Amino acid sequence: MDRNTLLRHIQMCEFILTEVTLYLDTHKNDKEALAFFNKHKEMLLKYKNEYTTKYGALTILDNNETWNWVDTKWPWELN
Amino acid sequence: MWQYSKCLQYPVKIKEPNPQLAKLIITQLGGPDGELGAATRYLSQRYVAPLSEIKGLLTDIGTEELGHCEMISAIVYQLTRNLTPEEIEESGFAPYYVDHTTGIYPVAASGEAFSASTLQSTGDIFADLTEDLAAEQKARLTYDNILRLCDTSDVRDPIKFLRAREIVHFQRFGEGMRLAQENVDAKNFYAFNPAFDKRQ
Repeated sequence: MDRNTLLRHIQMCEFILTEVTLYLDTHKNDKEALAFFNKHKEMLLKYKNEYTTKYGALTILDNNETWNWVDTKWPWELN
Repeated sequence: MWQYSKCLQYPVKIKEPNPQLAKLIITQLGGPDGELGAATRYLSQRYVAPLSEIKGLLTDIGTEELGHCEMISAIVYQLTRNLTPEEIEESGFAPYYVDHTTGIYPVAASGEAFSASTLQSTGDIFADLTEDLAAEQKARLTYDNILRLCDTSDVRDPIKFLRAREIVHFQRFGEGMRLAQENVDAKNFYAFNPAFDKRQ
């Protein structure tokens, strides 16, 4: 996947997790919602792993041998 | 604590600068019903909330509002790129420009600076949640007003996303209110403040 497509997939998964988190805060015993959360958490981790390997850090924890945190675009900047 | 992720909650990709529109939309950063006020309100109210579920809601919605501050700031930033002095003067952006150039500063559309006096943290869960419900509706109607004045799709798209989030937050705060009511004296919700008084 190219950078923008992969980033869009990450945004979609993150959004699903945000939305389901708010729902689970007031429906903590909803097993179906929790399973939905866990499914998308796995997807998010997979996409994030691909993104950070190919295109650089999304969080400060994603830097490895080089400090690439400041090399990639900031999210408010256009491509 | 918080950890920053180098990714907006929803994409903001605006082609054409429009300082006139920026001057209106910045109200959702620094205005009386804006995202900065929302984040400050919820993240301040959560400490004494009497139920863990409500602490969770205030933390998680407050955190999302911080992401919305970033989206509004990104919209204003992209709407004010590469301006000429003529464009600044003709668009009515000059009063903002003279104080802040094109830096992002939290003000209302009227030009008044952000103030915590537009929000409350009362230490009473019914008062706080009632304010939070109203705050989500006020933010929603401000987005409606912006949408009436804006016809470019690349600006309308993230604004419509933010508007929809106000409705979801209103729903969740309503559920928080129900949970709070179930945990106090059903005959008299206001017999005591569950965050302060000890039940007799």
